[in-house]
Amino acid sequence: MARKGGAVTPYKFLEHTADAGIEATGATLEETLASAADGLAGCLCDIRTVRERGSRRFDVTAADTESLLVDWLNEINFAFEVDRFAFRRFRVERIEGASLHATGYGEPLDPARHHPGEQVKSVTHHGVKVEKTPQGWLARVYLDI
Amino acid sequence: MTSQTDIRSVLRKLDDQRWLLPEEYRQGMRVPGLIFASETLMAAAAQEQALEQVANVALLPGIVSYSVAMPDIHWGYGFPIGGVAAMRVEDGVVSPGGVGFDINCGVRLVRTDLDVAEVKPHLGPLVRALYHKVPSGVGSEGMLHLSAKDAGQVMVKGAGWAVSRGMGVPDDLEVTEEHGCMADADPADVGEKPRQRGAGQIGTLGSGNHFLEVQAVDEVFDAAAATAMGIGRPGQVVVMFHCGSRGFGHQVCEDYVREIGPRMASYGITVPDRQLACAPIKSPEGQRYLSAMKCAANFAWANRQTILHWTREAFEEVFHRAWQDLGMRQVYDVSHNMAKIERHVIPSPSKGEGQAVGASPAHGGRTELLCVHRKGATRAFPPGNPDVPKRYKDIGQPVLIPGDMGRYSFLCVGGPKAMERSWGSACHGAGRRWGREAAKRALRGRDIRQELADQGIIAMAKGWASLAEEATEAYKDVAEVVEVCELAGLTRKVARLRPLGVVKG
Repeated sequence: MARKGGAVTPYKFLEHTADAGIEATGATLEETLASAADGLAGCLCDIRTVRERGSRRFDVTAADTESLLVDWLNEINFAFEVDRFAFRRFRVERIEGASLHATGYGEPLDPARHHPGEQVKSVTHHGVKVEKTPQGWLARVYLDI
Repeated sequence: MTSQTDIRSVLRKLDDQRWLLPEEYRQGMRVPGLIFASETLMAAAAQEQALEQVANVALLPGIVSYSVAMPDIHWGYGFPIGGVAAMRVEDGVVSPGGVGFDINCGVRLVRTDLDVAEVKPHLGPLVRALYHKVPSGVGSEGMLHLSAKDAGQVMVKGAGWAVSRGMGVPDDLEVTEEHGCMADADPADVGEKPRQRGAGQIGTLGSGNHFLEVQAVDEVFDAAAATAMGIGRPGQVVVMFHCGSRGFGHQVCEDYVREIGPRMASYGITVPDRQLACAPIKSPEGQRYLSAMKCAANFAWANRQTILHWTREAFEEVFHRAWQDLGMRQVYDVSHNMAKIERHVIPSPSKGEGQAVGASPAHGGRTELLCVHRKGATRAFPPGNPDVPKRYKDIGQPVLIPGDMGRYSFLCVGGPKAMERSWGSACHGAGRRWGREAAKRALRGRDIRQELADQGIIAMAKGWASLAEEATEAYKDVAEVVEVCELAGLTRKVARLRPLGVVKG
């Protein structure tokens, strides 16, 4: 479990020789995919330095749940890189089938203050997993850095 | 056998550099795996999922001879890093993941007339000038912002676009793989998102393992080949940099994996890992991907050409001489993430284990058009190959193999057995020993920048983490990797280069 602002957050980073992975858990699929996004935000910059001064909407539709996880995180990465918007946290309002509706909170990227971390080339489909567990849900995804 | 079988127990050692992964290892393998590695490198590869990935690639339709892996093999996505796979154009597939996200990631080497003694007193200002001229790191944008029209030209003309803008000279193109431009790149096959990601990123290094280094020739192994490349003596200063197609290429790969994945079933293709998504080369999806990949490859060459121009400018500012007077000629530019349609000779059927992947026409066999995927592998054509620039036809294609920022890199040329053993391919670097998180954990508390300074190396990076992740300890010894390629006849060593100044993302 990673720590964020003193609270335990339900994601952890996975080892990969060249890159990194994220494993997120949650009671619901919505919570789990929001946690995975929090994990990605933590790779992109130091989220403790990001203030919640704005938000971005995400409406993503994919072929299945695994692709939805990959596409959703890729949309976030795109917003970070192209719109230059730094995220602090995410809320997934609802998932219907393989469609997701969510909001990301943060502010315009200020490299001097947000300490950008790794550039994520892409979120990959390698070993992607979204599954129901006895405790709730688990999502796993690897990033190409 | 199943994937649960310990892979090491089924590997067969063919000789001191080659290992065979029999096709019985996994049901559905169309060809065996062939891994180039020493005992030590194989022990490292066997600890992660890289060898499973060699087996996975062998499942793909149309693969010929072997699923090949270079000695710097490590765990990738779908394909292993260091993977080489040739598919028949007629009935084979092309896999965007088999090229990777960083399409045409590659390395460029520039020689100078300068000597270490002349550069040392100016090394600090020189590294600072390079750091400021060539933006690096996350969120970095270049000094150029491409208009829609320019973006179209970049996609079609590649490095030639930059040269036409005064950033470089035609001679630079002569010594760039494919002359810095893949033909038949149609921007209509590239969506809006790659253009948006790439618009501000021309002339930027990026982050991760991308770098720009001022280096000194440390040792010359082949004086004649070195001379042909303008490398004369130990102490001569050169510049090497490593980067690719930035967000443009990343997005092209992402878009096509997303598109092709759900379409595979209609072609009767199933893959064990979604990142292996592929389409028949001759299908509309396959053709459009190849065209978009070429656009991204051309973006990468325009990027490296622009970086070359700014590197020359940085030297001019620091040494107050024109780059021509400093002898800053490009030695070569190689790609190590690409799928290319190449003509190879395929050996006659089964002459036993470890037979050639390709062959020389003299040994029989038939010539066929193949789509050669190189994922973290460098093209390494031998002397006399028609695709080698004229000035290098007697020595072979230069092969640029970076090591790590604390030790050394190598300048090699394509070796005599490359065509028959690895589809004219060689390693592309040292390969990681530690993951990024592991490196940061292991090096916590260490002042990497000072440690490098104590070795006489000036390093500039965005932060401690970038340096820790790329520290010497995080990498295997590239000399061992290069040695395997040398002994296997894939490359010949020409010179070893040691870092003086390092710019990291």
